[in-house]
Amino acid sequence: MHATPAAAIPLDAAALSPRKELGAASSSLTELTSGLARGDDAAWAAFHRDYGPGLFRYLLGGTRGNYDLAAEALQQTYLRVARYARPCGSAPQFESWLRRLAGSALNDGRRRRNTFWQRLSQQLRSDDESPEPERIDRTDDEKVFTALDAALAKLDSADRDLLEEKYFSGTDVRSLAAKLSLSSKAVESRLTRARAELRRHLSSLLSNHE
Amino acid sequence: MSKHRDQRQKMLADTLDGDWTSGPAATMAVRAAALARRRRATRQCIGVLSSVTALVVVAFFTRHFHAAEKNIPAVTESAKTPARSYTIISDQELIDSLAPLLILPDERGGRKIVLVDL
Repeated sequence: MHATPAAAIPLDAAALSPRKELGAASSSLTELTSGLARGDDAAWAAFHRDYGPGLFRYLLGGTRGNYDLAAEALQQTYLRVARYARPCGSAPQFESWLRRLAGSALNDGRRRRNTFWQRLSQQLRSDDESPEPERIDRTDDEKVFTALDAALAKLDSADRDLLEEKYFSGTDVRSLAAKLSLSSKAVESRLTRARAELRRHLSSLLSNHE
Repeated sequence: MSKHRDQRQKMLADTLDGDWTSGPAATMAVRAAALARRRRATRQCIGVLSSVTALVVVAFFTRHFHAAEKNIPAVTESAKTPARSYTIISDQELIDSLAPLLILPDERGGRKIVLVDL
């Protein structure tokens, strides 16, 4: 299944491509959002493919690399989209709405995780030290890419090459297997290990950013 | 630049749970789609139910008022004219019904009742 032009617009408004035809994009976005409101599986798959990674990056930046919280907030964001989605033809409006939903889902997730003891310890702190409700800004969002580059640099060169081949050169697993004289399954498991290692570095880098 | 950005974004997404589009992360979208369908079905069901309820209520009240109108008794002519507290009689009947009595002053300055024989 291929992305529709509008659906392919990344969540980041700064990266919106002016080359896309506005009318066609708008009508495709209307179709996509109508499909989301209907609960159409194809529309949801397209939404997950085209908007999901951007949302996840946004949430990962907001949680300072906390994968569990980001994943939980992402699921909650999806559920909110399912609840409130209405046909919409404006990409910036839709993206801004998604950001707001993701931000509120993340805040709710944080609140849920805030246990009694954490609340008590916050009460015991002085007012100056009490943490403000966290807001995700664009610098947080951008920090994720910076951290990703740093995490990639920290990887073992074989793992880094494999990931770069897969994601930046767009080589599929079968071709990689042929190139490395390995089975596809072996390449898959190497990729899984490399991604796990990347995730570990990324989490640690993002949490140290505070 | 944008393509590179998308590629990095895809790589980042895949670090969550393996392949983003077909791996475990895709179940999030499946769950959300199911929720959207359920909500849509519920909304439609509520819409139909409320329309039916409104129709039933309207029908009930229409019937009720119609029946109430039917039960109002017809106003008859006799009911319209109130019963009189007197009877019209002829002069003869009046004379017959009156007692033939006369009240006359007596010699002592009092009054005496005299029965008249007609």
